[in-house]
Amino acid sequence: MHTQPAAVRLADLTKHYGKAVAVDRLSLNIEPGELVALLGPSGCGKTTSLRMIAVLVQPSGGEIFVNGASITRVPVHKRNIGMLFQSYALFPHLTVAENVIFGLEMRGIKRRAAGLRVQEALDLVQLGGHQHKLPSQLSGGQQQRVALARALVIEPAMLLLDEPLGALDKSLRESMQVELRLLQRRLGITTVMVTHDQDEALTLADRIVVMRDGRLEQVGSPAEVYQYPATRFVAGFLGVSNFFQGTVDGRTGEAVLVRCSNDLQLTVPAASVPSGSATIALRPEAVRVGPVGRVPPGPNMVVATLEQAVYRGFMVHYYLRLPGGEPLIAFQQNSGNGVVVGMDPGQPVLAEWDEGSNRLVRDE
Amino acid sequence: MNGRSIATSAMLYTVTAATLVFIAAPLLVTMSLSVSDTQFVSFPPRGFTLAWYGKVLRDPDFQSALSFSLWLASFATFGALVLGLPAAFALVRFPVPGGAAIRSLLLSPLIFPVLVTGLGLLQLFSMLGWGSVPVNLLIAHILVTSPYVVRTVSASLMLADITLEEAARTLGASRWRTFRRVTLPQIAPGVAAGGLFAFMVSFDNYPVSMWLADAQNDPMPMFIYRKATGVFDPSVATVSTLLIGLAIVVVLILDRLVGLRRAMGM
Ligand SMILES: Nc1ncnc2c1ncn2[C@@H]1O[C@H](COP(=O)(O)OP(=O)(O)O)[C@@H](O)[C@H]1O
Ligand SMILES: [Mg+2]
Repeated sequence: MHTQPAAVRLADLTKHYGKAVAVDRLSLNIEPGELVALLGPSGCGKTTSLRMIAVLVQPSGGEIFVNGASITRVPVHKRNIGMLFQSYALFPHLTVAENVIFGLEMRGIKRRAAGLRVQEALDLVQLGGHQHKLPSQLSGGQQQRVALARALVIEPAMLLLDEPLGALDKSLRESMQVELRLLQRRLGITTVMVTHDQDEALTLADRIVVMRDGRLEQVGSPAEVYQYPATRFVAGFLGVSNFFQGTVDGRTGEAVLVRCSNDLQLTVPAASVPSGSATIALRPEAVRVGPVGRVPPGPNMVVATLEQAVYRGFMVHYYLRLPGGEPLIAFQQNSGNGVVVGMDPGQPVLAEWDEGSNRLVRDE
Repeated sequence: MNGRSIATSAMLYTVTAATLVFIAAPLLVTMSLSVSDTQFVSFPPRGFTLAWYGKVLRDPDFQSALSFSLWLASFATFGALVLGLPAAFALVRFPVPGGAAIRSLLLSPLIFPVLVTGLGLLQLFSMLGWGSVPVNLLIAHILVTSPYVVRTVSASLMLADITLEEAARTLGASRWRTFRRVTLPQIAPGVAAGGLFAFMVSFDNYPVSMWLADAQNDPMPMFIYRKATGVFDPSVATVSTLLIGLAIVVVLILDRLVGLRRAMGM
């Protein structure tokens, strides 16, 4: 299979349903061969965006470009798109081979040549021996692979996946994720995937597009989006975050000083000084928890009450309560030395972290 | 099984049996009369003879009524399918403005008194000066049969999975090929059921044909009615029994072909 990876550009793609805005001016550049994941909570417009790219839904505004040419007004059956549906959408009255050959028949490809390509596609997804079965005779994972073969055999310019693994159970989903990723890399096919599962997005995507209420919230590599969330929403949606509210109170050296309630001071490395109130996100794995020695004088540390320590194998999750009543969560790797002395529920503990772990985020 | 469910199922069986008797008894009476070795219809039948079958099958009036009704029902079914299928598809798959009103209008011959429909059509045709009786009958029969197609096909379209059609579209199928290759196989039982209803309703129709038929174009129900009101010999029962047999054969064939029971939710 030899796909020509396509560059895809979305420009202000918009969809209204009556008064409601499902997708609001979505703009995005997708590199050839890249796998982009649209990630966001249910109802944020991921499926609608994907269906506009496939033209199963007519955009209310904006344009879609493939390799620089607008395809916004090209009808769906002329777009050369491979799409995978959550429900697999295999034709129940056709065999596996007939399902896979469907797209080739529509392109008027001769039976012999088409047959060879079907065989090749089914081998690719390791279903060579199941040609003559009906979809109902296959397991969920096998059905999704047939759907994948059917989408790939037409050598599409891009592959669109809508929650492709959502209907599979967890272990199967994880192995399919790896398989899908390998296949996508090998074929170098430009891929847009929709998911509400952050693990799936982090595992599979070259870049993650976080969406919220129809709008693009942040774009970046999984590491960028996870480590440098731009907004409070992203910090909370992707992984777990602690949040602090405070007011900016000048600078200390290279960092901005933020004063929160109960004498808690945070320093954030930031070039420019934002004025007024600030929201800071902090990942639980950045917080170190230990017995209280002496009362801490500096920033980025606080004495909190340990409410619960949950042993999770190689990690321990500490649930703390700040003097002002706000919760603080800390994940710490298990050092293997057993229980830390002086860390009993109900006791005060010292939580501290590095200045570099604080992230100023927009809060809207 | 506890006592309550035994009581429930006993009642269910009783009601079902009673319903079956109620439906089947008149048919059984008719069938038994058709082999009665008497000059006039009398119950209970006496003796056994197949002579009435021979007489009926050789009767040229019966032959012409049968062939005319078969012709009429076939073309009415064809017309009902040609009109009803696209109508149902448009109503279910596209947000037609005023779709609900159009749907009610299309289905209205089902609830409108058929006798009145027939009279209305008679007046319309004479006003327009349309003199061809077979054509008028065909138009009338298409009118009263197409709602059955719209109804059964709409029901199957609503159940059919739209994502299959979308998948076909992304794979490069035009709307027409998507319909033929993906939608039609899914709704085939509904189409067959609609066609069967249309055929039977046309074949069986008296109240519309009554207004529009003439001596040269004599559908089967009118032939039977005339026979029953004339010499009431067992050949009327014979004709009826032949038609019952025809209906059973058609239903069995269609069930074999497309799984009619599934389409009718049985
Ligand atoms: N056909 C439709 N008609 C009206 N509203 C719709 C339709 N499809 C989606 N929506 C609305 O658009 C929003 C985005 O939906 P969707 O793209 O399916 O979200 P997601 O895939 O992220 O869960 C939702 O509020 C949904 O209710
Ligand atoms: Mg969705």
